[in-house]
Amino acid sequence: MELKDEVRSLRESTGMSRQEFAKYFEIPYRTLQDWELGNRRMPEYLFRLMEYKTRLEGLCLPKNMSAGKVTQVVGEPSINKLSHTAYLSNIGRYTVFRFRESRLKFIAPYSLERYDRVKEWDNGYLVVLTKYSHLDHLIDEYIDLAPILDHLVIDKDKFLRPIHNVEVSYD
Amino acid sequence: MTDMETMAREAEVIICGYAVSRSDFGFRVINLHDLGSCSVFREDGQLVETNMNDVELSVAREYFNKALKYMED
Repeated sequence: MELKDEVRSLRESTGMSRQEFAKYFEIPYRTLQDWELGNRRMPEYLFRLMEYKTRLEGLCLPKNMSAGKVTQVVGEPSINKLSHTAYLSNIGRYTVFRFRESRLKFIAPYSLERYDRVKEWDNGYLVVLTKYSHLDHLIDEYIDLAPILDHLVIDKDKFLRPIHNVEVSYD
Repeated sequence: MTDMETMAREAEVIICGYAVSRSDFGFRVINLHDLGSCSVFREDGQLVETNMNDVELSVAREYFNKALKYMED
């Protein structure tokens, strides 16, 4: 999605008109209009800040109240809060581990291409079929979340206890 | 349970509520106003691990780079 579309989606997710949105963020109406129409490019860091503020202040409408096509905040994962499933993926050489509202991101080998399938999950210890760019076949990769949780000052037991299984998902 | 006081005491530098401390696994940057928010960087600034969102991560990275200047070897 182009940035101008993301800006419009973000505004629509709040249910605000362009005028209301511009007034709320104290930016000129014409500036917002130009960003949404693609006449001018909004700085990406500014969009991320607005997205953060939108989420922080709970400006997004519930799904059934959205007037526009967008029904959730751009970039917000649609993970069921009651789910006991965590999701594994990667962004470049960083592994991403998502569970409910939490998202861990940690460095992986430089040649990581993608994860294929989780073979084993044992209370923080993962065995996952992985594709590396320097290999032409999938291999088992071993990931231990325990030291990562320690480094990030996250209570291991509390974090891991509700996770019953892990799936590879790039959604 | 790690509390704010402990994290603040262990920090070498605190900038705008972000405490930076050195350890054998890298430089930890923790948000003292939200102790659930933490990142670890290498000395060259490369991210090692984080549970921050991208916006806060960019803020933490900036404070880490500033903190490095004040941290003794």
